[in-house]
Amino acid sequence: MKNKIALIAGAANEVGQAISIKFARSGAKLILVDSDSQGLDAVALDKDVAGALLDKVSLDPTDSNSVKAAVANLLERHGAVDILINNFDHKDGLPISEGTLTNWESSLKENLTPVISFCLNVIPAMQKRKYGRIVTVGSLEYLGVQNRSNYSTSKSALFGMTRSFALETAKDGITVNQVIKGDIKLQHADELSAEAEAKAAGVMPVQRLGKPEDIAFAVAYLAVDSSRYVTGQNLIVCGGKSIYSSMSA
Amino acid sequence: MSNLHGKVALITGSASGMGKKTALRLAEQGVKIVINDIVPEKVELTVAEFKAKGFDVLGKVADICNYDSVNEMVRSAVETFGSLDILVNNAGMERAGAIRNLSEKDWDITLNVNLKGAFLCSQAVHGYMVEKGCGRIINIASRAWLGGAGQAPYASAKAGLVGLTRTLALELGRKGVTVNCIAPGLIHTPMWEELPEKNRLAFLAKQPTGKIGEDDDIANAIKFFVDDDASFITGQVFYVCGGRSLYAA
Repeated sequence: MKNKIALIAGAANEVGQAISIKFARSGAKLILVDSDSQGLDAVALDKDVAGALLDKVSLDPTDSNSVKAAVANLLERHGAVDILINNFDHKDGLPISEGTLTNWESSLKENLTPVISFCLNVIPAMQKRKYGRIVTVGSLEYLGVQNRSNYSTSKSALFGMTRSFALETAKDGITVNQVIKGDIKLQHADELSAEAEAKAAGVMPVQRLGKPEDIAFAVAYLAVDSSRYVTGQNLIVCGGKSIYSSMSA
Repeated sequence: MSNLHGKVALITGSASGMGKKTALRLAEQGVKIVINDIVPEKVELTVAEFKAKGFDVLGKVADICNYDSVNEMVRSAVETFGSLDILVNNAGMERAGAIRNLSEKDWDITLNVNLKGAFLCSQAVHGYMVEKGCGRIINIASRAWLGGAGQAPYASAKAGLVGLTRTLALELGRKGVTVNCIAPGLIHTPMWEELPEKNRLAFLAKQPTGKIGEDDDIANAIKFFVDDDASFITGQVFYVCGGRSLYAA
C-alpha cells in the first residue's frame, strides 16, 4: 500500500477511523471525506493518520453535485486516486406499520447514493490509469432483518452494485469488492449493556462481537496489489454469524 | 515481525504447485512448515529446497485418505515442532468426464482425496488447536463447486468442502479456531500449459478480467486468512477467481 493514494469516504465513524489508521500504518496517503468535519478532525488526531494525511474534505455525500466537484478537485490536486473506500452507514429503520416511503427514500439516499456517487466519479479516472481498488463496507443485515427493511434493502443493493461494477471494470485493472460487517462493538453509538453484549456475543460462533479493526484488516487486504485476482466478491467478516444463512456461500 | 512468526503449518500436497507456493509464502513469514505429499521423491526434493533457503521444515510422506497415515503425520509434526497452528487442506485431484464415462473408481478417489482427506486432517489436528485456544484451518475448494459440466465428482467433493468448512466453523468457533474456504478459479499451473491453445483461449474468454490467476494469488489469500488479525472471519467461502464466480455458464 506504500504511497498509494486512498480516498476514504465515510472516514469519521469508528470503522472509518480504524481503516484510516490501518491504511496510514501500511504506508498509504490519505484523503479523508465525511459530512462530519469534527469527526474528521478527531480521526486526524492520530499521529499516524496525521502523518499520512493529504487532504480532509467535509461535504454532504448525499449531494451528487458536491461529490462530483470534490472528486474532480481532488484528482486535479493529487493526480490520482488508487484506492476508494466507501464506508457509509446510516442505520435506522421502521417496521412496515410505521414505515413510510419517505423513510425508505432516506435510507437509500444515506446508504446507497453516496457509494454510487463516489464510484461513478472515481472509476473513470481509475480506468484511464488502468489501476484501481474499490472496497465498500456493507452490513450483514443485507440478508434481511426485521423492522429495518429499508436499511436492509439499501445494503442489499450494494451486493449487485459491487458485482456489476466489478464485471464492467475487470479488464481495466480495477477490482471492486465488498467487506460485509457483522455485529461490531462500537464505543460511541449503539451503547450496549454488559448483559445485552454478552447475549449478542453468545449467539456468535466465535462468541464475541467484532471490533472496527477486524473490518479494517479485511478492507486492507482487498485494497492492495496482492488481491489483484479477487473481484466482485463479498467478504463477510462476522464471526461466523452468516453461516446460518443460505445466501452466504 | 509478522504475527505468523514461529507458528507451525501443515499444508497437504505442498511438494508442488499452489501448496508449495503457499508453504514458501508462509515460511518467509517465519512459519515452520510440514511439507506433505504421497510421493517420497517430491517431498525429499522440496524439503531440500526449503532447507537450502534456511527454512524450518519437516517432510512427511503420507496418504491423506488413510486415517493411520494422517494421524502419524500429525503426531510427528507436533513432536517435532511442539504445536500445530495452521492446517491448509490443499491436496486435491480431479477425474473429469461426462457422467456416462465416469467409473465408480473415479468418483471414489476424487471424493477421498479432496473431501475425506480434508476431514481426516482436520479431525487429527483440531484437538491440538482447541487445546491451545487458537488455530486456522483453510480448505482449498474450487469455484467449480458451483457446478461444471464434466466435473461431477470434483464439483461434488469441493461442494462437500464448503459444508465441512461451515460445520467446523460452527463447532470450533468458540475454541478460537477459524475455518474458511478458498475457492480458486482458473490458475496458471503446469496442466494449463499442456492444454491446446484453442482450449486456453476458450477459458480466457470466460474470464471477466481476460486473465488467468497465478498460484501467488492463492498463497496471498491464504496468508490473509491465517493471520491472527483474521480472527473474526470464519465459515466463509472466498473466491479468488478474477470475477469468474459472478456469472453462470
